[in-house]
Order: sequence, then structure tokens, then C-alpha cells
Amino acid sequence: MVSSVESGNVDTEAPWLEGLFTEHSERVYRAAYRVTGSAADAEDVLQTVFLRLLRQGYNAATVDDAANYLYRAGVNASLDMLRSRKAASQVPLEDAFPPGAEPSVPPVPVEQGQLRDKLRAAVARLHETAAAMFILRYYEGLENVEIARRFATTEGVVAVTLHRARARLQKDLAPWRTA
Amino acid sequence: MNDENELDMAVAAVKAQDPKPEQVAEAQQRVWAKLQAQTGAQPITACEGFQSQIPAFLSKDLSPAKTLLLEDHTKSCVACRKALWLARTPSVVQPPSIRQSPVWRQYLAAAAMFTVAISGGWYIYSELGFGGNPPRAVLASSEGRVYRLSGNKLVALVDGEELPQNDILRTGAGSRAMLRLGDGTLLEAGERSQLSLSGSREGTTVDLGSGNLLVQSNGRGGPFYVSSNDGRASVKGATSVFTRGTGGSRVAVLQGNVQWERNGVSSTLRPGEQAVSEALLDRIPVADQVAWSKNADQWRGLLSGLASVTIQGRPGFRSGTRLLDAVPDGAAVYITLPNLSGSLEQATAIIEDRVRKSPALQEWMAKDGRHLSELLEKARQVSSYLGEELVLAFLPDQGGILVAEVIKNGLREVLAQARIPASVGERRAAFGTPPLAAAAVLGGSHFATTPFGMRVQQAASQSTGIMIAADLQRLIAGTKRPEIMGLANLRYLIAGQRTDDTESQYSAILDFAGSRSGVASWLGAPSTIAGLAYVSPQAHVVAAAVSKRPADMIADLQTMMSKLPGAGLRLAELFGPQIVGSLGNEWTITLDGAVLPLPEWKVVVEVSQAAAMQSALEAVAAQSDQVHIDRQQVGPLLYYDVRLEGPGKPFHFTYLYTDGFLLAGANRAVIDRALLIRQSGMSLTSSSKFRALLPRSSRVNFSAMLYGTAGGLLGGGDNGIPATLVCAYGGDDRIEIASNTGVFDSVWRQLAELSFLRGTPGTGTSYR
Repeated sequence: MVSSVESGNVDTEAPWLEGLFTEHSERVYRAAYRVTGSAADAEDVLQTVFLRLLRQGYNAATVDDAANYLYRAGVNASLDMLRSRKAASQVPLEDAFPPGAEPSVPPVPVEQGQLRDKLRAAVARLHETAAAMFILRYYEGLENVEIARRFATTEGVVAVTLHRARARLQKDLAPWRTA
Repeated sequence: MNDENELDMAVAAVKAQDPKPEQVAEAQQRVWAKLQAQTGAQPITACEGFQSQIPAFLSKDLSPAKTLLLEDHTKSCVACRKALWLARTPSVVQPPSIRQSPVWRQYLAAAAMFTVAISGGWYIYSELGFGGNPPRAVLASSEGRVYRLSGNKLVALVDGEELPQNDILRTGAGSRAMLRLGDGTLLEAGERSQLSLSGSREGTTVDLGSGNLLVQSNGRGGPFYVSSNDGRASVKGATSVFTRGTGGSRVAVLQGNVQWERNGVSSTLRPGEQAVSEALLDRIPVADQVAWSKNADQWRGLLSGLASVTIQGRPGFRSGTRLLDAVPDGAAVYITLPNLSGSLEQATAIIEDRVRKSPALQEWMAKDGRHLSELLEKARQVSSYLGEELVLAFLPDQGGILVAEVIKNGLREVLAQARIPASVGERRAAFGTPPLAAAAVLGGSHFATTPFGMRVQQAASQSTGIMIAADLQRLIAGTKRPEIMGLANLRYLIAGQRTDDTESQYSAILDFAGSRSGVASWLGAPSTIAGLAYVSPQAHVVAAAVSKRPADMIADLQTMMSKLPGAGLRLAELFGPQIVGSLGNEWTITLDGAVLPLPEWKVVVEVSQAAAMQSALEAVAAQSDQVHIDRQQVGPLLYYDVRLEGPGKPFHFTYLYTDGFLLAGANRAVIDRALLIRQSGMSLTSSSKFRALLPRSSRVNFSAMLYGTAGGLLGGGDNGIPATLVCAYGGDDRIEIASNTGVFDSVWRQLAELSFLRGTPGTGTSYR
């Protein structure tokens, strides 16, 4: 990637953009890839995030915490992309599993890749903050204290959010098991 | 294999599916090329790329991701938008050829057409908003006080007068304004609203600073947008309503379709649908969002005919309390607590975890901490026999009880061993005043049917943690003070905690029997507090409120004082009618800047008549040897430097009038910095840290707030102690106080993170 930016035209209208792109684009792409599972979608997310940044113009606050801003923008755009797909069910979990009506049939065996896709779809159905926190913790390996800092909240809130997100995802994945 | 393992395996599978380095590099190259094209280096290529996708877009063969990008691009690119329009529009049929007419008639026809074209073009240019100017906006009708802010001057706007481009329209409390644009669009602004109009080649934009706005666009003219810091909506041809406040924005559609864009994500809203800009902002029925409008009934009628009106509100919390029939009928205090055994278990686990990580704590636990551990263990043993809910109830002059459900056998033996007196039945156990406890175990009381009991039940259904309810009318019956202060109709206090997926919120509600009166009525209805725009995100302490008009508050005080023996003071004269009459409804006080050696404070007070206020202040100074006011013009700013002389050192401060406010501060530098903050838009309420502290609510504004960062006060910087925000909301018959930053939470974290607990002196944890 670096060779393209170094040898390409230096953009005089938004010189700050090149630095941000060089430093953060790989991370944004990888995060989008993990969330969407699609190279094409990840590329589109990367383009959307930086196009939006370009349109907003230079903003000191954004650049000061560009890593956090771009990463979260990428995660949010990726989740929105997943949600817009028809495959993502709009049925709330509460309606899918009414109280006292836990599925009694044995889990359906699926390939690991299919379970992975079902996890992605289930994460997209979480509350947007819970989904973003779950991705940061379990896909990206950030500690709760760092997540709390990025969301300007407390470790306790992060821990509770992740606990509940896991509970919901476990329920969502319950009908399937790896073959 | 259990559910948890399946989830972990799925997560591992996601993480293992990483893209190859060369795949990443190729994607970066392609995206960078497109970004360069967007900045102007190779514009044709970028648009060529998008325009080549139009056929696939129209035939719906384009992927969702590329569709999103194309729609996003056409919003800002005129060339591609035109290409899309042409691709959608059938070919124009050529008119049949016409017979040749005499030459002079051809010249006359050409001249006529030229004149019509110029006139029509000029009309379109000036009236309908093409060519970069917004359509003319005229104040068609108004109620109350409507102003326009032109530069630094607040000027009353009268019916029929034009609102110039980029001037800000501002409505006062209890006021409203209807603007009619040249293209026929109607803009209705509610009370305490602020908006301006601007035009560009892209179209006309209403910038909504705060308040409520209803837009009826008839579809003529160019593109029409409503914009704020929270997003932008394309509203041409639609009727839509906007609410913008400190807590975010809400947009809903009554007729037509609105394209709402925020953070690069666009969505289409149809009639009856609503979007919010913040996850913490609840959706509300659209009929409630238009309730302020003069034609609210018309809009409600329209909404009632819609089949798809949806309210995606917040899911409910727990289903209420199950021990109401155990509570004595006459209970005046009702407290419900969550399962102590679970909380105690968590508290024990947290303590053990902290002790493991801290040599200092291990030493303390070995010496003095054992007693605490034993106590916690005993409490946990008894509570493990009890259900999820503990209820405490108190009756005036009769005592109280604690009652809970019994969930396993053996409680009698445990209590006997611990020598704890109690009444224990098959399903319930109760502790406390024996007759009340015995009755509680039997159940069957009528508390749930009493007015207080019904209020408790309603509050319990919205609470998930501790809840405290008090029947204040009974508890303070017979005391004179509430009546004197106008609090005679104070009814209940409900304080509690509720938790959802992402946060805990603490609230206290004071209910009144009827409208608030006396001192309780001083708190205004929730509204944008514009003075907060002068406060920086680094402020240490901020108090701000919307209140009753000061003249009315003084009248209330006078009424209260008349009930006291010997009170003959005429307060209105004491405070100065001109000063009091010039003051508006909102005020902000803050410590924002250096703390030492002299605290840099500032005060922002709404002033509706600056000239009258200044003349009254100068009259006070003229009659006193101790008050001196010097004025100095520096460029466009007129500063007033005040010196107050008294027994000690003279007290200095400076103020000026700006944008309908009196801005006072410790010195001129504080004033200048405040003006810069206002101009930059980077104020406390726009900071993500502050917005993250806002309680989740259906209201976009609050009536009052108290914000503080003790860390900043103690150390002059962020030393790890988190900020606290408490908001108050004034309803017609209630006052609610809410906060996401619970006292217990804050205290526990401060104790846990003090340096000696970490075993490393002098270090703390930075939360932000």
C-alpha cells in the first residue's frame, strides 16, 4: 500500500488525508473485513469512511483521536452494511425466542464457516453500542479499560454490556453447533 | 458442547479469517485512487466510474455496498446526479416543424421570449432559491417574542418583515413563528427555537440551532435541506418535524419522504417514521413530537390515518414488584432492593480480585479485612434463602418491616442459629415490628389499591435496581414550611435506578398534586440553554438552568414573605424593576479555566433588553461610591469593567452584551475565550465526553444541569476522577432529576483507584 501513496499524486487540497490514510487504512480495512466477512464490503467501507472524512474537512478533534474515530466509523459502517442485507433478520430476539419457548429440537450441525456467518449476522442485530463493544473486545482483543476510554464510559458498564451481549449471542447461536 | 464454547469457536473462526497482506494492499491502492479523484486530481475518472454503474443501479443489479456509495456520491455531485436523472427520464419527443412567419414577427417573438426568460429566470433566482440564494423568507405570523440576531444585535422581528439570509431567527419562551418562503414553503418554529437560512448551488438549507421546527415543503424550487450538527435531511416535497436540543435531534415525517443522513449513513423516512441522532435518545410517538405546533390537531389527524406509524421505543425493564400485598396499607415509605445475595457475591468477587492484584490490600486484608469478609459471608448466607426482591416499608409512628420471598427450605434454622427474630411463612419472610411482620407474611393488604401504592407499582415497572418511594404529603403533613414555600401540593418522591444493555441511570422524581407552584415552579420546562455554548469542554464546574422569568420569581417570593409575620419588604423595588424586567429565562454559571491563583469564573445570563439593563446598572453605580463601571470599546466589542469596593480588597470583573446575553467573567481574557468557544462551536455540550454522560431520555433538552469534574478542581488537570452530570427536567406536575453517574459508582471507583490500593504510590487511572 505504501508504495501507492508514496508514488501517487500528493493531494494538495487535503494534505492531512494522506497521513491519516497511511496510518489507519489497514486497520480499518481489517476490522471491516472481520465484521462483514467480505473483501468487497470491506473495501467499500474503507472508501466510505475516508470519503466521509474528506467531506467533513480537517477537524483537529478528529485528527487528534483519528485511530478511535476511524476505527469506530469503520465498525459502524460495517454493521450498517450487514444490517442492510436481506439475510439479516429483523425479528427481535425476544420474538424469536418467546419466554418459556426455548427451542427443544437438537442443534443443527453446521460448518465452522457457516457458524461464523451466523455470528456476524447476530452481532449486527445487537444494539449498536453493544455490537461495537463486542467487536472491540472479542475481534480486536482490546481490554475493557481501553474500551471504556474509547466510549467515555466506565469499566463496569463495559463489563455488563459485554456480558449481556454474550448471553444474547449464545441464545442466537443455540440452534446450531459446529459439525 | 455448551453454548459458551460455540460462541468462542465462532469468534475464533471470525478472527482466523484474516485477509492476506496483498489483498489489503490492493484494496488500499484502489481506495486511495478513488480518494485522490474526489479531491480533484482526477475528477473525471471518479465520476466516470460512478456513472458507469448507473445502469446496474437502475436495474437493481448493483451490490448493496456499491448502491450505498453511489447514492452517497450523487448527493454531492451535480454532474452524476444529472446523469442519473437523464438515465431515468425518457427521451424528449422533438416538436413538429413549424411554418416560417414574417421576419419582424420572428424578431418580436424572440424579444418577447427573451424578456420572459430573463424575468422568469430572475424570479426563479430570487424567489425559488436557485443559483445559490435561498428563497426570500418573511415572517408570516407570530406569537410572543420573535427576534432576529444580526451580527451581535438582537432585533425584534415583526409580522411581514423579511428574515435576511444568515440572520438567526430566535423565538422566546411561550412564543412561535411562521416563516413563509418565496417558493411557498412554510417553516413553523416553536418556542425557544433558533434557526437560519442559507443558500448555495446545492440548494437551500435551514440550519436548526435548537428547538422545534416543522417544515411544509411544496416541492417547488431547488433542493431543500434541514441541517444541524446531528445530521442533514433532504425535505423537498415533504412535511416533516425536527427537534434539536442538547441531547441530540429527532426527525419525523408527516407527509412525503425525507432522506436523513448522519455520519455518512443515509436512510429514508416515510410518513409516520422517526429517527434520532443519538442511541441514548428515545423515540416518542410522532404525535407527541408535533404537539407544540399550532396545527397539532391537523397533524395528529394525518398521523392517525397512517397504517405504519411505529414507535421503536426502549424495551421495558422489569415487570414490577411482587410484594405489594405484603406491605401495610398505611405505608408511607417503600423501598425495594435487588437480590442482595447476588450483589454481595459480586462485591465479594470484586474485592477478592482487587486483593489478588494489590500487595497493599493483601496486607490490609490479613490484618483488618477479615472481619469485613466474615460479615459479608453471614449476610450472603441469609440472603441466599431469599428471593430476588427485598422490600422495606415504613409507617409513620408505627415502625417498619423488611419482607422477601423465601426460595428454599432451612431459613428458620439459619435465623435461629444467627439469633435473628423474624416471621417466616411458607412463601415469605418478614423482619421488623412483629405485628406488621406477621401480617406481611400472610399477605392480602390493600396497599396496591391506594394512590401511593399505584404510584409505587408504576415506578417499580420502570426500575431495575434500588427504588425508594415516599408519600411526602403524609410524611410532612402538619408542617408549615411547605405551604409557605408553595410546596403544599408536593405529593411523592420516587428515586431509583434502571439499567439497560449499556448503562445504569439514577433518577429522582418529585410528583405534585396538580401544577407546580411556589418555589417548585421556578424550574422552567426543558429547553436548549444557549449560554452553554460559551462553556468549554474543559470546564471544571457548570450550573445552568431555564427558569421562570425573574420578575415572576420575585412576585412568588413576595407572596411567600407576606405569609410571614412582620414582612413588609417590597422585593421588586429592592432588586430594581428595570434590571429584573430585562432578565430572561436562562442562566449559566461556570468555573472554566485556571483555578489558581484566581478562579476564572464566568456567568452567562439571558437579557432581552440590553440597553435598559445597562442604563439601570449605571444608575446603581452613579448612586454608589463602592460600584465603579468603566466602559471601553475594543474593535466591535464594548467591554464594561466593574470594580466593587468594600472592606477587603476590591473585586474586579468584566462583562459585555452579546447575542441576547450578558456575558460576565473574572477578566477580559475569560470573556474573549468564551466568545471564541461560541464561535468555534466546540463547547462543552458538543463534546463527546459530555454527551456520553447525558441520561437516556425521551427529551432532547433539560431544564437544569450540574456538571463537575472534581479531578480538575483538585489538580488543575484530569487526574482520573470521572466527571459527574446531574440533569433536572421540569414537567407540569413533576420535577425529575437524573444522572448516569451514580454516587455509589463514583465513590467506589475513586476508592478502588486510589494509589495505595494499587500498591504504587502516586499513580492513578485515567478514565478519559
